[in-house]
Amino acid sequence: MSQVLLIESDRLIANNLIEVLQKAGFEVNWQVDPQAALDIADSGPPGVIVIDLVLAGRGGIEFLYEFRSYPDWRDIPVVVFSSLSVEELKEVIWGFEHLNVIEYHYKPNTTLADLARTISRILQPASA
Amino acid sequence: MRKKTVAADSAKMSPMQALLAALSDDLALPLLQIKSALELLGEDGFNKKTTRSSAEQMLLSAENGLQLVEAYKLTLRINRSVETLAFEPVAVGAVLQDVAHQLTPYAKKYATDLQVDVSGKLTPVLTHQPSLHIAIQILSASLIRAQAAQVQQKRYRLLLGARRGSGSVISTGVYSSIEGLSDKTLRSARSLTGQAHQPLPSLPPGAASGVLIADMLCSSMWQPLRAAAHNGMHGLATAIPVSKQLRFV
Repeated sequence: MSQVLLIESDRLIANNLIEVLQKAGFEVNWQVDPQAALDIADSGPPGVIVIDLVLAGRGGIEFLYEFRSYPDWRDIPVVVFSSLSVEELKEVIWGFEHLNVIEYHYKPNTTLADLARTISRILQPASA
Repeated sequence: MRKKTVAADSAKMSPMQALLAALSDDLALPLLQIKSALELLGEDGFNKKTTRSSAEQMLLSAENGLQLVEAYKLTLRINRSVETLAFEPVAVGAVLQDVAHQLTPYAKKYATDLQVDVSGKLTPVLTHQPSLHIAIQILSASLIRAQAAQVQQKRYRLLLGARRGSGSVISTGVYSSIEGLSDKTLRSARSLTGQAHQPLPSLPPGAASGVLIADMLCSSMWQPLRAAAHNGMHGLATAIPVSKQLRFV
């Protein structure tokens, strides 16, 4: 079972993030395509989802609404890690609570270590 | 979601303002790549193995951001006056080879194999070489990112192709192994400046302004980008007229 399901469209940012999370003791399954992420979750629910909101083909918010529509996945925590600012998200940010978004990290103001700490709070590292 | 917002906002913006908005979004990507690479270096205590790989990645990201800025500046210059540009005989195939050579390290980071295919012996065209070079360069870089963001594969292919088109034109462009990527990307990019009738929510992150600038450059210099196929791959191409004099060269 993957502990962290990472949905991030940029390969270089994903690779850097995966390295930091793996060093922190997490298993990471990275997907660029939200549909593929649903299939992965279907084969074994992740401990936490880390998602960017700007994705090719299908938006992150649309993905989250579909994800939450399945009763089995309603309680899986979600962390948003996005380059969209609060100002840009103002039309949808009210829905974060409903979508069980535990934390929102704005990429320009967040370090990879900050994100790893958030995930640590949510999950115990696999090696612990 | 963002695309809808930007597309809606674009109704209030001039094409140049819309381009700047897209450019600022796309310039954020290489900066975020550099930022995360530096953070990774710090996490590793700057050990030698990680430093080399992160430094290489940061260099490629910085170059990519600078190419976007260069392309934007050239677009502005062309919009002011095409007459100031120095036209010369240009071998399209040589430009494609140059771009492929320059972008190969960047493509490798995105698990992409770059190939060049020039069908037949093509007559040189009389044009502004830097415009053609940078249009193909930023279009290629945008499609490298776009196809890797679209679907997860072990390897991707991107083809830089040229061939004689119907009439006295050379059709040249960039072609992806991902089906349906190119025309969606072009329509989405154009939707940012309100030029498309049906904005599509399929614009891959980091690709908008590159495609848009390449389209503007091609429109000003030759013909706008259009969806095209080459060797069974689909992509975006422009058509460059062959001058009558050069046909005898």
